[in-house]
Amino acid sequence: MDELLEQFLIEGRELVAQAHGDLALLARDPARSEVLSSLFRTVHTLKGSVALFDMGPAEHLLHTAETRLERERGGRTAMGRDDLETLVAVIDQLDRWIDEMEHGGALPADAEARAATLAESLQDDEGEDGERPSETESKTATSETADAPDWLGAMLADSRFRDLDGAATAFRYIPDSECFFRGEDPLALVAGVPDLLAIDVVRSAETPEIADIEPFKCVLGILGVSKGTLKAVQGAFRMVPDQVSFAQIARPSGSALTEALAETLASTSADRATMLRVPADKLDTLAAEVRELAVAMHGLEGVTRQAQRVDRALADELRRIQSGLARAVGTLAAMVADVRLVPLQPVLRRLPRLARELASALDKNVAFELSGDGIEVDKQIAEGLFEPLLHLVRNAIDHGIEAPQIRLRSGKPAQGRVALELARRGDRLVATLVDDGAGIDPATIRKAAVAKGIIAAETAENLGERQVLRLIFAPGFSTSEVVTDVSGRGVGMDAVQRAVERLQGTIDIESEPGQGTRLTIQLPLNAIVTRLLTVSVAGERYGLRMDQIVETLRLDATEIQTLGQGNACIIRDRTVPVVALAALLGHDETVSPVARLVVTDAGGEPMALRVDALGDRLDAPVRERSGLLSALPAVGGTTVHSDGTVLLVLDLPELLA
Amino acid sequence: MSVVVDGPAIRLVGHCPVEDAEPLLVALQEDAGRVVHLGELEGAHFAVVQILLLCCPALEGFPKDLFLKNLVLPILGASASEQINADP
Amino acid sequence: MTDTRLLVVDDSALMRKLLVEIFSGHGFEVALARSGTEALAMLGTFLPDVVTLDVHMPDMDGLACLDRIMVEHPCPVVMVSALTAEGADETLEALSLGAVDFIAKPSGPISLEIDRIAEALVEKVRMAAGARIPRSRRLTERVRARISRVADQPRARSAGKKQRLAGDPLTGVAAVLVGVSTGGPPALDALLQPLPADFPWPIVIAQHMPASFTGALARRLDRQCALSVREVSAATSLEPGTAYIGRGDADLIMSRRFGDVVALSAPARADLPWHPSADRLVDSACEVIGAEALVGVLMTGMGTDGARAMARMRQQGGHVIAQDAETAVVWGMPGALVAMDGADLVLPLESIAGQLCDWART
Repeated sequence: MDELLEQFLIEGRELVAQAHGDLALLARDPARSEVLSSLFRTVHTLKGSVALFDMGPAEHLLHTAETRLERERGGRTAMGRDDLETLVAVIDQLDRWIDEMEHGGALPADAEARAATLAESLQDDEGEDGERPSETESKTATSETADAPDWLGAMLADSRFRDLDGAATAFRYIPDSECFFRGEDPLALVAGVPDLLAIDVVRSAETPEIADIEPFKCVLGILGVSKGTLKAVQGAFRMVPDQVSFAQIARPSGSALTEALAETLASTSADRATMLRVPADKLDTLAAEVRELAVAMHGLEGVTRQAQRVDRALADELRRIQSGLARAVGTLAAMVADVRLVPLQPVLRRLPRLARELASALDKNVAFELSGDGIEVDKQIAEGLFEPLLHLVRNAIDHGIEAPQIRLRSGKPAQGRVALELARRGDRLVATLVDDGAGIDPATIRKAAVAKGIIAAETAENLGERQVLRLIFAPGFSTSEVVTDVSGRGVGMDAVQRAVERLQGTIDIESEPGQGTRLTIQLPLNAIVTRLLTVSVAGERYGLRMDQIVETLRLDATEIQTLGQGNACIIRDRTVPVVALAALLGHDETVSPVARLVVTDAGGEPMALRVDALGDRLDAPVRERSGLLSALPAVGGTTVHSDGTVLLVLDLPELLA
Repeated sequence: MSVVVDGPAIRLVGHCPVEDAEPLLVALQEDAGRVVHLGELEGAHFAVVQILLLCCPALEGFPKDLFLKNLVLPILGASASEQINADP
Repeated sequence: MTDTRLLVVDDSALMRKLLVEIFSGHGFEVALARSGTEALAMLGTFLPDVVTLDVHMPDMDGLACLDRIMVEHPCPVVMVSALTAEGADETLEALSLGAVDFIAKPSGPISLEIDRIAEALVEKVRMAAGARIPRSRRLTERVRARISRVADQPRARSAGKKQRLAGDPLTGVAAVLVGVSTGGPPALDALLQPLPADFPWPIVIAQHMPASFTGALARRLDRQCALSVREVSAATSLEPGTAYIGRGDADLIMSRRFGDVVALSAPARADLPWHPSADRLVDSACEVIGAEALVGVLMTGMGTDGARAMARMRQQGGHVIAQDAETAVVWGMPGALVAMDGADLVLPLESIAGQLCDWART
């Protein structure tokens, strides 16, 4: 799906630019209907694109903007300067969100709140019939915090709820009248409330006469009281948060008060008192600067070596200062790495909900358990982990867990279990996904792999069971429908493996036919990213490690002169040999009027490498060279570019040695 | 069919899904005096419970399911709560 | 087997890319057009078996493009539309202009949705590629239809007289039940338009469709037909001279209210694949009214919905008509019914109304 996201980033930004252009024209002449139509279409298309990704708040916001523009188009309301400014703010916000999608693959945590605020200003001057997509969020938010809502007093005065021992949390659930048609059963949700003490019904609409009863229209609400905590009770209504209000029941008794206090303290003060919110991009800049510092430190080494030849005492003094600096830089780098650690929780927050939605969509009965999500890992790892985990959970529910009847028939409980456990082992993060579903039959995999032409029949026979299972990670294997149906597993397993490898991790699979499957992902806790500069040579892209680069520059080609058998140029009064990287790599040299040079340190002397073009700088985990590549001395490793292509990372000292 | 109409009696049997609200309503509209027997009831969709709440028929027996018996039955009308109080 | 040649017409590069991803590898050879103009230029060279066409495009919108495709290079077209109430009218218009079917514009977080929707999309478009372009939509008639949308249609009486097929009028009929799916809206147009306002039997229709579309469909048919056409959700007593279309994404059932026969929507039953389910409608009607007082009509559509229940209804004394293979866009449901020997008559679309009138002796 990476390609699709990339396409979205391009198209989304084009649409943003288009919208801005239209808005600028409208600012000059608000009455131009063809510009208004164009803006409407742009916003509509943008909404459609956004809907393809997990960008709910953006979709809501654009929907509101679209509705607003439609009214405008219909000539029903006048668009003033304020409206235009709000629309500009909406498009700006979208632009920032597109950036966030590019960097983190997800909207920031405050997206909902921002969308709600902007949507509200868009609707300010609308009639009552204006849609308010933000309403559900704000309603939930207030209902959680309200100390004693109006309904609570009346409810507790009722004999049914009076003097219940241990009553802690009350809820008032007014289901939407159409909820039966959406497949909801309010009573089943209420039955899921932990430690329920009593319930009652409340008539939410005019109670119909027996002749007028619509059997599938929900007209009653449910009130209830539980001994459970607010959080526990809210948990039972996760699917319908906008239809339920909650209240904690005040209790004079000491123990309950302490409990309540403890809960409040645990949930608020801990993160409020000591936490400082820092925008993620500042942190990235900080990390980048620390790396630059390390590069500069590296330069100092060369100077120290030079000084050695001139003045030993000066060199010793320099070396002493340098080692002190190096220690400080090392500590700083470690601290920055530590600051970049984020808990996995916010990233994996959506997983239980998605698992539930998926299970219900597939008519499966699945308990999804998530544990260990409090572990902190590098931001990059946290962000990169969600997609592959979602894929795996999805596969486990879709293909692993059997339908309830089948489970019962094979002597298992009707409810399947999918458990994701995250744990820290040394400096590795280990994510284990276990299901008690149908498991994978190696014989089936073997047959399918041969049928798909992934391996030869005799090779297949010689593979052990574990190796056979690993075949599901082979490119082209799991995309096959046949395999999905037959093996019961496998949508995009190669994509999962690629994503894990991109994070420098490994993935392993064990399965017992009939008993279930266990997938183990191991990842570094700290991303070991290397700062790379991409360069183009003879039509190929390569990565060069920034810490091996002293500087880059552009020169007029005429400034490169022939010197003896080679070429050289003058950089700051020094003669620096120039070597074409193409020639070193065995490609043909290309000639251009501008020479792009990368200066590196070759055994204490500067050396300039001529390349065709200088590309982006990027932070990427570099994989140790392995397999075929280990035969190539100049290749320091490989990294997977965000577009999925593999970039060879050159090791300059080795190349020039 | 989990709604069994048997002359003056209606028996709710097993798990009553959402669609059972319709036959239950028809049976009670035809004869509001019908007694609804809950003794074989193992589970009910809220739509079915809602019909009982809106039509207030006489009830007999206790559902097998504990949630229905202990928490839902008490709200299905005074007669039912009296019965539940008498329940040992 | 050669690949199905699919032309994807969409102004959004993102959507084109997504559709290519969905269709390639499923036996499709995909070509892309960024606009209606580009699509028209490609029709003659690429010779697609089927076209997917975005409803909303900037220079030439989907409807205009569809109109020209049907005139210049008639081939099956599947509209790609947002499942919204606003999209409904345009989509229905497209179906009446000759589009075979429509698919919902993919939306929702891709990683979760894609595999789920992909299968349905591929299935629909593959089916459309093999579909017959509705004969009644061929050039001359379509041009006439465009000149005057409310122009006099051939009245059922004359058509019926010419093609009188099965004899004696039926007595004691309480309702006509119609099950229809792919290709349904224009087929319903052809079925209901010729019926007179005083047609004596209520007509209850299960048309597979999303909830946001059935209201628009009912309003559209109501404007075009002498009969009154309504969407049904809450329990509604059945009147003669009226057609009732069940709300989408729910099932339509028959029941009684104090002796009166009513139709009402019920939550979609998860074990049935299509909604409103024709099988469930027919089963409930047989129970409430009795098969012998029912006439069933099973029309164009993918799948088998309605076939089982209507075949049983016929065994119990009901009268059943299946649309024939030549006029059905997809002869799935009626085909299944015929295979079960469940139809008294297999008629071309344009003769069904006449037959109903003959049976009703109007």
